[in-house]
Amino acid sequence: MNKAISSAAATPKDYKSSNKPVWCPGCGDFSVLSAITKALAHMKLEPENVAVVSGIGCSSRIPAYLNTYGFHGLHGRALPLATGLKVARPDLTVLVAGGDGDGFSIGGNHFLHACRRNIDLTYIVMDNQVYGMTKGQASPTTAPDWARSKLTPHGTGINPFYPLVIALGAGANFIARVSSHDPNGTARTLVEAIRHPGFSFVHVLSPCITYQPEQREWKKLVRPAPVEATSDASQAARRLMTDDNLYIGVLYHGNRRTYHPQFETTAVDPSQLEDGFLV
Amino acid sequence: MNTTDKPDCDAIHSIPALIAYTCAMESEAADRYQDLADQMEVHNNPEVAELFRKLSALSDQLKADYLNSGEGMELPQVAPWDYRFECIELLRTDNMDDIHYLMTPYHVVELALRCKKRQVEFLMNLSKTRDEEGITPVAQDFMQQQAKHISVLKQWLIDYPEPDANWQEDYDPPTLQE
Repeated sequence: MNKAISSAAATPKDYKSSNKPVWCPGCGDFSVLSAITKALAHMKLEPENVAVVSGIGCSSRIPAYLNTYGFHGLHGRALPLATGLKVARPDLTVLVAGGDGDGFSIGGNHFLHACRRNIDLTYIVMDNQVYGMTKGQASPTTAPDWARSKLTPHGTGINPFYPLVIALGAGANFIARVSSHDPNGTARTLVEAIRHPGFSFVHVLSPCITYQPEQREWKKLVRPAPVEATSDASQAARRLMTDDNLYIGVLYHGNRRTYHPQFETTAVDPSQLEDGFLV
Repeated sequence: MNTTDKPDCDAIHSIPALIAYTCAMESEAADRYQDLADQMEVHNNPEVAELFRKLSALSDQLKADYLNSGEGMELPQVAPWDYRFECIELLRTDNMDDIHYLMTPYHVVELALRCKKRQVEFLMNLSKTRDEEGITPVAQDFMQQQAKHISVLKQWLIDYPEPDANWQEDYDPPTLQE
Protein backbone atom coordinates (compact mmCIF):
# COMPACT_ATOMS: atom_id res chain seq x y z
CA MET A 1 0.00 0.00 0.00
CA ASN A 2 1.40 3.36 -0.98
CA LYS A 3 -0.50 5.86 1.10
CA ALA A 4 -3.50 6.43 3.26
CA ILE A 5 -6.32 8.41 1.67
CA SER A 6 -9.30 10.16 3.06
CA SER A 7 -12.17 7.94 2.01
CA ALA A 8 -14.60 10.85 2.27
CA ALA A 9 -13.13 12.31 -0.91
CA ALA A 10 -12.02 9.04 -2.46
CA THR A 11 -11.92 8.70 -6.21
CA PRO A 12 -11.29 5.48 -8.13
CA LYS A 13 -7.81 6.77 -8.93
CA ASP A 14 -6.95 6.73 -5.23
CA TYR A 15 -7.29 2.94 -5.16
CA LYS A 16 -4.80 2.37 -7.98
CA SER A 17 -1.18 1.69 -7.19
CA SER A 18 1.72 3.14 -9.15
CA ASN A 19 2.33 -0.24 -10.83
CA LYS A 20 1.16 -0.30 -14.42
CA PRO A 21 -0.73 -3.36 -15.67
CA VAL A 22 1.24 -5.56 -18.05
CA TRP A 23 -1.84 -7.10 -19.65
CA CYS A 24 -2.17 -7.17 -23.43
CA PRO A 25 -3.88 -4.11 -24.91
CA GLY A 26 -7.56 -4.92 -25.17
CA CYS A 27 -7.57 -7.38 -22.24
CA GLY A 28 -10.87 -7.41 -20.36
CA ASP A 29 -9.05 -7.35 -17.03
CA PHE A 30 -8.38 -3.61 -17.37
CA SER A 31 -12.11 -3.03 -17.04
CA VAL A 32 -12.33 -5.26 -13.98
CA LEU A 33 -9.53 -3.29 -12.33
CA SER A 34 -11.42 -0.11 -13.13
CA ALA A 35 -14.66 -1.59 -11.77
CA ILE A 36 -13.01 -2.64 -8.50
CA THR A 37 -11.60 0.85 -7.94
CA LYS A 38 -14.98 2.42 -8.70
CA ALA A 39 -16.76 0.06 -6.31
CA LEU A 40 -14.29 0.72 -3.49
CA ALA A 41 -14.48 4.48 -4.04
CA HIS A 42 -18.27 4.39 -4.08
CA MET A 43 -18.30 2.45 -0.80
CA LYS A 44 -15.73 4.86 0.64
CA LEU A 45 -13.71 1.98 2.04
CA GLU A 46 -10.35 2.90 3.46
CA PRO A 47 -7.64 1.10 1.44
CA GLU A 48 -6.06 -0.16 4.64
CA ASN A 49 -9.32 -1.92 5.47
CA VAL A 50 -9.41 -3.83 2.19
CA ALA A 51 -7.32 -6.85 1.18
CA VAL A 52 -7.24 -8.38 -2.28
CA VAL A 53 -5.95 -11.94 -2.47
CA SER A 54 -5.12 -13.75 -5.70
CA GLY A 55 -3.51 -16.88 -7.09
CA ILE A 56 -1.56 -17.13 -10.31
CA GLY A 57 -2.40 -16.06 -13.84
CA CYS A 58 -2.87 -12.87 -15.83
CA SER A 59 -5.87 -11.72 -13.81
CA SER A 60 -4.21 -12.71 -10.53
CA ARG A 61 -1.81 -9.80 -10.96
CA ILE A 62 -4.58 -7.49 -9.88
CA PRO A 63 -3.52 -6.96 -6.22
CA ALA A 64 -0.31 -5.31 -7.45
CA TYR A 65 -2.31 -2.70 -9.30
CA LEU A 66 -4.39 -1.72 -6.31
CA ASN A 67 -3.54 0.58 -3.45
CA THR A 68 -5.03 -1.79 -0.87
CA TYR A 69 -3.40 -4.62 1.01
CA GLY A 70 -2.78 -7.55 -1.31
CA PHE A 71 -1.43 -11.07 -1.41
CA HIS A 72 -0.33 -12.69 -4.68
CA GLY A 73 -0.45 -16.28 -3.51
CA LEU A 74 0.13 -19.75 -4.89
CA HIS A 75 -1.63 -21.14 -7.94
CA GLY A 76 -5.22 -22.04 -7.05
CA ARG A 77 -4.75 -21.23 -3.36
CA ALA A 78 -6.24 -17.75 -3.21
CA LEU A 79 -9.44 -18.90 -1.51
CA PRO A 80 -7.85 -20.73 1.44
CA LEU A 81 -5.54 -17.77 1.98
CA ALA A 82 -8.46 -15.37 1.92
CA THR A 83 -10.47 -17.64 4.20
CA GLY A 84 -7.68 -17.59 6.77
CA LEU A 85 -7.39 -13.83 6.50
CA LYS A 86 -11.10 -13.21 6.89
CA VAL A 87 -11.38 -15.55 9.86
CA ALA A 88 -8.45 -13.86 11.57
CA ARG A 89 -9.48 -10.33 10.61
CA PRO A 90 -13.27 -10.23 10.18
CA ASP A 91 -13.11 -6.42 10.17
CA LEU A 92 -11.40 -6.40 6.76
CA THR A 93 -13.20 -6.37 3.44
CA VAL A 94 -11.59 -9.30 1.66
CA LEU A 95 -11.80 -9.66 -2.11
CA VAL A 96 -10.41 -12.67 -3.93
CA ALA A 97 -9.51 -12.40 -7.59
CA GLY A 98 -8.28 -14.77 -10.25
CA GLY A 99 -8.96 -16.52 -13.48
CA ASP A 100 -10.80 -19.61 -14.64
CA GLY A 101 -7.74 -21.87 -14.61
CA ASP A 102 -6.65 -20.74 -11.17
CA GLY A 103 -10.13 -20.91 -9.68
CA PHE A 104 -11.81 -23.85 -11.36
CA SER A 105 -8.95 -26.22 -12.16
CA ILE A 106 -5.99 -25.89 -9.83
CA GLY A 107 -8.17 -24.31 -7.18
CA GLY A 108 -11.38 -26.16 -8.01
CA ASN A 109 -11.58 -28.02 -4.74
CA HIS A 110 -11.09 -24.82 -2.76
CA PHE A 111 -13.83 -23.18 -4.81
CA LEU A 112 -16.34 -25.85 -3.77
CA HIS A 113 -15.50 -25.59 -0.10
CA ALA A 114 -15.35 -21.80 -0.04
CA CYS A 115 -18.91 -21.78 -1.42
CA ARG A 116 -19.91 -24.39 1.16
CA ARG A 117 -18.33 -22.56 4.12
CA ASN A 118 -20.02 -19.31 3.18
CA ILE A 119 -17.46 -17.04 4.80
CA ASP A 120 -17.97 -13.36 4.02
CA LEU A 121 -15.72 -13.09 0.95
CA THR A 122 -16.21 -11.70 -2.55
CA TYR A 123 -14.70 -13.93 -5.21
CA ILE A 124 -14.17 -12.28 -8.61
CA VAL A 125 -13.28 -14.70 -11.38
CA MET A 126 -12.19 -13.20 -14.69
CA ASP A 127 -13.11 -15.98 -17.07
CA ASN A 128 -11.54 -15.90 -20.53
CA GLN A 129 -11.75 -19.64 -21.09
CA VAL A 130 -8.02 -19.98 -21.63
CA TYR A 131 -4.68 -20.11 -19.81
CA GLY A 132 -3.35 -16.81 -21.13
CA MET A 133 -0.18 -16.40 -19.09
CA THR A 134 1.24 -19.68 -20.42
CA LYS A 135 0.32 -18.71 -23.98
CA GLY A 136 -3.05 -20.15 -24.68
CA GLN A 137 -3.99 -23.62 -23.44
CA ALA A 138 -7.52 -24.92 -22.81
CA SER A 139 -8.93 -24.23 -19.34
CA PRO A 140 -11.88 -25.84 -17.52
CA THR A 141 -14.34 -23.43 -19.15
CA THR A 142 -13.00 -23.76 -22.71
CA ALA A 143 -15.47 -25.03 -25.30
CA PRO A 144 -14.83 -28.71 -26.18
CA ASP A 145 -14.22 -27.96 -29.86
CA TRP A 146 -11.71 -25.15 -29.30
CA ALA A 147 -8.75 -26.39 -31.33
CA ARG A 148 -6.42 -23.40 -31.42
CA SER A 149 -3.85 -24.77 -28.96
CA LYS A 150 -1.18 -27.22 -30.06
CA LEU A 151 -1.91 -29.22 -26.90
CA THR A 152 -5.50 -29.83 -27.98
CA PRO A 153 -5.36 -29.76 -31.79
CA HIS A 154 -8.78 -31.41 -32.07
CA GLY A 155 -10.30 -29.62 -29.09
CA THR A 156 -10.53 -31.01 -25.59
CA GLY A 157 -13.69 -32.97 -26.29
CA ILE A 158 -14.61 -32.40 -22.64
CA ASN A 159 -17.70 -30.63 -21.39
CA PRO A 160 -16.83 -27.26 -19.90
CA PHE A 161 -17.21 -26.44 -16.24
CA TYR A 162 -20.29 -24.34 -15.41
CA PRO A 163 -19.09 -22.20 -12.53
CA LEU A 164 -22.37 -20.55 -11.60
CA VAL A 165 -24.24 -23.83 -11.41
CA ILE A 166 -21.45 -25.36 -9.35
CA ALA A 167 -21.36 -22.31 -7.05
CA LEU A 168 -25.08 -22.53 -6.43
CA GLY A 169 -24.95 -26.28 -5.80
CA ALA A 170 -22.01 -25.87 -3.45
CA GLY A 171 -23.75 -23.19 -1.40
CA ALA A 172 -22.55 -19.73 -2.53
CA ASN A 173 -24.79 -17.03 -1.09
CA PHE A 174 -24.62 -14.50 -3.94
CA ILE A 175 -24.09 -15.29 -7.61
CA ALA A 176 -23.72 -12.80 -10.43
CA ARG A 177 -22.39 -12.70 -13.94
CA VAL A 178 -21.00 -9.48 -15.39
CA SER A 179 -19.15 -8.44 -18.51
CA SER A 180 -15.91 -6.53 -18.70
CA HIS A 181 -17.47 -4.59 -21.56
CA ASP A 182 -19.52 -2.81 -18.93
CA PRO A 183 -17.12 -1.68 -16.20
CA ASN A 184 -19.68 0.60 -14.57
CA GLY A 185 -22.32 -2.13 -14.40
CA THR A 186 -19.62 -4.44 -13.05
CA ALA A 187 -18.80 -1.87 -10.36
CA ARG A 188 -22.43 -1.78 -9.28
CA THR A 189 -22.58 -5.58 -9.03
CA LEU A 190 -19.34 -5.63 -7.05
CA VAL A 191 -20.80 -3.18 -4.55
CA GLU A 192 -23.81 -5.48 -4.12
CA ALA A 193 -21.57 -8.52 -3.83
CA ILE A 194 -19.34 -6.93 -1.20
CA ARG A 195 -22.36 -5.78 0.82
CA HIS A 196 -24.09 -9.14 0.63
CA PRO A 197 -23.18 -11.26 3.66
CA GLY A 198 -21.47 -14.58 3.05
CA PHE A 199 -19.65 -15.92 0.03
CA SER A 200 -20.33 -13.84 -3.08
CA PHE A 201 -19.28 -15.16 -6.44
CA VAL A 202 -18.94 -12.71 -9.33
CA HIS A 203 -18.25 -14.36 -12.66
CA VAL A 204 -16.77 -11.88 -15.12
CA LEU A 205 -16.77 -12.55 -18.84
CA SER A 206 -13.38 -11.00 -19.53
CA PRO A 207 -12.11 -11.64 -23.05
CA CYS A 208 -8.59 -12.73 -23.88
CA ILE A 209 -8.23 -10.96 -27.21
CA THR A 210 -4.81 -12.53 -27.77
CA TYR A 211 -5.63 -16.25 -27.50
CA GLN A 212 -9.42 -16.17 -27.80
CA PRO A 213 -9.90 -13.29 -30.29
CA GLU A 214 -13.42 -14.48 -31.10
CA GLN A 215 -14.42 -13.37 -27.59
CA ARG A 216 -14.55 -9.82 -28.93
CA GLU A 217 -18.02 -10.85 -30.03
CA TRP A 218 -19.11 -11.18 -26.38
CA LYS A 219 -19.66 -7.44 -26.39
CA LYS A 220 -22.52 -7.93 -28.86
CA LEU A 221 -23.84 -11.11 -27.28
CA VAL A 222 -24.07 -10.33 -23.57
CA ARG A 223 -27.37 -8.93 -22.35
CA PRO A 224 -29.03 -8.18 -19.05
CA ALA A 225 -30.85 -11.17 -17.56
CA PRO A 226 -34.56 -10.55 -18.14
CA VAL A 227 -35.44 -11.55 -14.57
CA GLU A 228 -35.09 -10.22 -11.06
CA ALA A 229 -32.47 -11.84 -8.88
CA THR A 230 -34.02 -14.62 -6.86
CA SER A 231 -33.37 -15.91 -3.37
CA ASP A 232 -35.02 -19.21 -4.25
CA ALA A 233 -32.20 -21.66 -4.92
CA SER A 234 -34.33 -24.08 -6.93
CA GLN A 235 -35.56 -21.28 -9.19
CA ALA A 236 -31.98 -20.04 -9.57
CA ALA A 237 -30.87 -23.58 -10.42
CA ARG A 238 -33.42 -23.86 -13.21
CA ARG A 239 -32.36 -20.52 -14.62
CA LEU A 240 -28.64 -21.21 -14.41
CA MET A 241 -28.98 -24.68 -15.92
CA THR A 242 -30.78 -23.30 -18.93
CA ASP A 243 -29.13 -19.96 -19.61
CA ASP A 244 -26.53 -19.59 -22.34
CA ASN A 245 -23.83 -18.12 -20.07
CA LEU A 246 -24.29 -14.70 -21.61
CA TYR A 247 -26.96 -13.23 -19.32
CA ILE A 248 -25.50 -10.66 -16.99
CA GLY A 249 -26.71 -9.36 -13.67
CA VAL A 250 -27.30 -10.64 -10.16
CA LEU A 251 -28.77 -14.12 -10.59
CA TYR A 252 -29.06 -15.35 -7.02
CA HIS A 253 -28.87 -13.77 -3.59
CA GLY A 254 -29.47 -16.17 -0.79
CA ASN A 255 -29.85 -15.75 2.93
CA ARG A 256 -27.78 -18.60 4.28
CA ARG A 257 -26.09 -17.97 7.58
CA THR A 258 -22.55 -16.67 7.19
CA TYR A 259 -19.98 -18.90 8.80
CA HIS A 260 -17.77 -17.14 11.26
CA PRO A 261 -15.88 -19.29 13.74
CA GLN A 262 -15.57 -17.86 17.22
CA PHE A 263 -12.06 -18.15 18.51
CA GLU A 264 -10.67 -17.60 21.93
CA THR A 265 -7.63 -15.61 20.88
CA THR A 266 -4.63 -15.23 23.11
CA ALA A 267 -1.84 -12.88 22.21
CA VAL A 268 1.43 -14.72 21.94
CA ASP A 269 4.86 -13.14 22.13
CA PRO A 270 6.60 -13.87 18.76
CA SER A 271 9.73 -14.90 20.66
CA GLN A 272 7.76 -17.82 22.10
CA LEU A 273 7.01 -18.98 18.56
CA GLU A 274 10.68 -18.83 17.67
CA ASP A 275 11.41 -21.41 20.35
CA GLY A 276 9.29 -23.92 18.48
CA PHE A 277 11.55 -23.69 15.46
CA LEU A 278 14.83 -24.20 17.24
CA VAL A 279 16.79 -27.21 16.00
CA MET B 1 -35.02 -6.65 -13.72
CA ASN B 2 -31.27 -6.71 -14.29
CA THR B 3 -30.23 -3.88 -16.55
CA THR B 4 -26.97 -2.07 -17.11
CA ASP B 5 -27.59 0.33 -19.96
CA LYS B 6 -28.33 3.91 -19.04
CA PRO B 7 -29.16 6.52 -21.62
CA ASP B 8 -26.58 9.28 -21.88
CA CYS B 9 -28.47 12.14 -20.36
CA ASP B 10 -31.75 10.92 -18.93
CA ALA B 11 -31.10 12.37 -15.50
CA ILE B 12 -30.00 15.84 -16.60
CA HIS B 13 -32.86 18.18 -15.82
CA SER B 14 -31.13 20.93 -13.86
CA ILE B 15 -27.91 22.94 -14.05
CA PRO B 16 -26.32 21.16 -11.05
CA ALA B 17 -27.12 17.79 -12.69
CA LEU B 18 -25.67 19.02 -15.98
CA ILE B 19 -22.45 20.05 -14.23
CA ALA B 20 -22.25 16.82 -12.21
CA TYR B 21 -22.74 14.62 -15.26
CA THR B 22 -20.36 16.54 -17.53
CA CYS B 23 -17.76 16.42 -14.76
CA ALA B 24 -18.29 12.66 -14.51
CA MET B 25 -17.86 12.43 -18.28
CA GLU B 26 -14.55 14.32 -18.25
CA SER B 27 -13.38 12.41 -15.19
CA GLU B 28 -14.10 9.12 -16.93
CA ALA B 29 -12.33 10.36 -20.08
CA ALA B 30 -9.29 11.46 -18.04
CA ASP B 31 -9.10 8.06 -16.32
CA ARG B 32 -9.42 6.20 -19.59
CA TYR B 33 -6.69 8.30 -21.23
CA GLN B 34 -4.47 7.51 -18.22
CA ASP B 35 -5.20 3.78 -18.57
CA LEU B 36 -4.33 3.94 -22.26
CA ALA B 37 -1.15 5.88 -21.47
CA ASP B 38 -0.15 3.20 -18.95
CA GLN B 39 -0.80 0.49 -21.54
CA MET B 40 1.35 2.22 -24.13
CA GLU B 41 4.14 2.88 -21.65
CA VAL B 42 4.24 -0.81 -20.73
CA HIS B 43 4.29 -1.72 -24.42
CA ASN B 44 7.23 0.58 -25.08
CA ASN B 45 5.40 3.25 -27.01
CA PRO B 46 6.45 6.30 -24.96
CA GLU B 47 5.53 8.96 -27.51
CA VAL B 48 1.93 7.76 -27.66
CA ALA B 49 1.83 7.31 -23.89
CA GLU B 50 2.88 10.93 -23.40
CA LEU B 51 0.18 12.12 -25.77
CA PHE B 52 -2.50 10.15 -23.93
CA ARG B 53 -1.31 11.76 -20.69
CA LYS B 54 -1.63 15.22 -22.25
CA LEU B 55 -5.17 14.36 -23.28
CA SER B 56 -5.92 13.18 -19.76
CA ALA B 57 -4.67 16.51 -18.43
CA LEU B 58 -6.91 18.37 -20.89
CA SER B 59 -9.92 16.41 -19.65
CA ASP B 60 -8.96 17.14 -16.04
CA GLN B 61 -8.72 20.82 -16.92
CA LEU B 62 -12.16 20.78 -18.52
CA LYS B 63 -13.58 19.08 -15.46
CA ALA B 64 -12.06 21.79 -13.25
CA ASP B 65 -13.57 24.49 -15.50
CA TYR B 66 -16.99 22.85 -15.33
CA LEU B 67 -16.73 22.61 -11.54
CA ASN B 68 -15.81 26.30 -11.34
CA SER B 69 -18.94 27.19 -13.23
CA GLY B 70 -20.95 25.40 -10.56
CA GLU B 71 -19.27 27.10 -7.62
CA GLY B 72 -21.68 27.49 -4.74
CA MET B 73 -24.12 24.93 -6.13
CA GLU B 74 -24.81 21.62 -4.47
CA LEU B 75 -24.06 19.03 -7.13
CA PRO B 76 -25.79 15.65 -7.05
CA GLN B 77 -23.68 12.56 -6.38
CA VAL B 78 -23.32 10.54 -9.56
CA ALA B 79 -22.50 6.83 -9.26
CA PRO B 80 -20.57 5.26 -12.16
CA TRP B 81 -23.58 3.12 -13.07
CA ASP B 82 -25.84 6.16 -13.33
CA TYR B 83 -24.41 7.00 -16.73
CA ARG B 84 -23.06 5.51 -19.87
CA PHE B 85 -21.57 8.14 -22.17
CA GLU B 86 -21.52 6.82 -25.70
CA CYS B 87 -19.28 9.76 -26.61
CA ILE B 88 -16.34 8.38 -24.64
CA GLU B 89 -16.86 4.68 -25.34
CA LEU B 90 -14.16 5.05 -28.02
CA LEU B 91 -11.63 5.40 -25.21
CA ARG B 92 -12.26 1.95 -23.80
CA THR B 93 -9.16 -0.13 -23.19
CA ASP B 94 -10.80 -2.97 -25.13
CA ASN B 95 -11.55 -0.88 -28.22
CA MET B 96 -9.38 -2.99 -30.48
CA ASP B 97 -10.57 -1.22 -33.61
CA ASP B 98 -8.73 1.92 -32.55
CA ILE B 99 -6.20 0.90 -29.92
CA HIS B 100 -3.03 -0.94 -30.92
CA TYR B 101 0.31 -1.17 -29.16
CA LEU B 102 2.04 0.14 -32.29
CA MET B 103 -0.37 3.02 -32.80
CA THR B 104 1.17 6.38 -33.64
CA PRO B 105 0.50 9.92 -32.35
CA TYR B 106 -1.59 10.51 -35.46
CA HIS B 107 -3.96 7.72 -34.42
CA VAL B 108 -4.18 9.10 -30.89
CA VAL B 109 -5.13 12.59 -32.03
CA GLU B 110 -7.55 11.26 -34.61
CA LEU B 111 -9.23 9.12 -31.92
CA ALA B 112 -9.39 12.02 -29.46
CA LEU B 113 -10.91 14.25 -32.14
CA ARG B 114 -13.67 11.75 -32.86
CA CYS B 115 -14.35 11.50 -29.17
CA LYS B 116 -14.46 15.28 -28.73
CA LYS B 117 -16.84 15.69 -31.65
CA ARG B 118 -19.18 13.15 -30.03
CA GLN B 119 -18.99 15.07 -26.77
CA VAL B 120 -19.97 18.26 -28.58
CA GLU B 121 -22.89 16.41 -30.20
CA PHE B 122 -23.94 15.19 -26.76
CA LEU B 123 -23.94 18.74 -25.38
CA MET B 124 -25.66 20.10 -28.48
CA ASN B 125 -28.37 17.49 -28.11
CA LEU B 126 -28.82 18.52 -24.48
CA SER B 127 -29.01 22.21 -25.32
CA LYS B 128 -31.69 21.52 -27.91
CA THR B 129 -33.83 19.07 -25.99
CA ARG B 130 -33.94 20.45 -22.46
CA ASP B 131 -36.65 22.93 -21.63
CA GLU B 132 -35.57 23.54 -18.05
CA GLU B 133 -34.49 27.08 -17.44
CA GLY B 134 -30.82 27.82 -17.83
CA ILE B 135 -29.64 24.47 -19.17
CA THR B 136 -29.29 25.57 -22.78
CA PRO B 137 -26.85 28.48 -22.21
CA VAL B 138 -24.72 26.40 -19.82
CA ALA B 139 -24.60 23.48 -22.27
CA GLN B 140 -23.66 25.92 -25.04
CA ASP B 141 -20.91 27.39 -22.88
CA PHE B 142 -19.56 23.89 -22.27
CA MET B 143 -19.72 23.23 -26.00
CA GLN B 144 -17.57 26.27 -26.64
CA GLN B 145 -15.01 24.99 -24.16
CA GLN B 146 -14.99 21.64 -25.95
CA ALA B 147 -14.61 23.50 -29.26
CA LYS B 148 -11.41 25.13 -27.98
CA HIS B 149 -9.99 21.69 -27.33
CA ILE B 150 -11.00 20.59 -30.80
CA SER B 151 -8.93 23.47 -32.19
CA VAL B 152 -5.94 22.30 -30.15
CA LEU B 153 -6.38 18.74 -31.44
CA LYS B 154 -6.66 19.92 -35.04
CA GLN B 155 -3.36 21.71 -34.61
CA TRP B 156 -1.81 18.53 -33.22
CA LEU B 157 -3.10 16.61 -36.22
CA ILE B 158 -1.04 18.89 -38.46
CA ASP B 159 2.01 18.20 -36.30
CA TYR B 160 1.61 14.44 -36.54
CA PRO B 161 1.30 13.21 -40.14
CA GLU B 162 -0.54 10.02 -41.03
CA PRO B 163 1.83 7.01 -40.88
CA ASP B 164 2.51 4.48 -43.65
CA ALA B 165 -0.17 1.90 -44.36
CA ASN B 166 1.92 -0.90 -42.79
CA TRP B 167 2.35 0.84 -39.43
CA GLN B 168 1.02 -2.14 -37.46
CA GLU B 169 3.28 -4.73 -39.03
CA ASP B 170 5.34 -6.48 -36.35
CA TYR B 171 7.86 -9.14 -37.42
CA ASP B 172 8.40 -10.17 -33.81
CA PRO B 173 5.00 -10.01 -32.16
CA PRO B 174 4.97 -10.23 -28.37
CA THR B 175 2.35 -12.96 -28.11
CA LEU B 176 2.10 -16.14 -30.17
CA GLN B 177 -0.11 -19.16 -29.53
CA GLU B 178 1.72 -22.21 -28.26
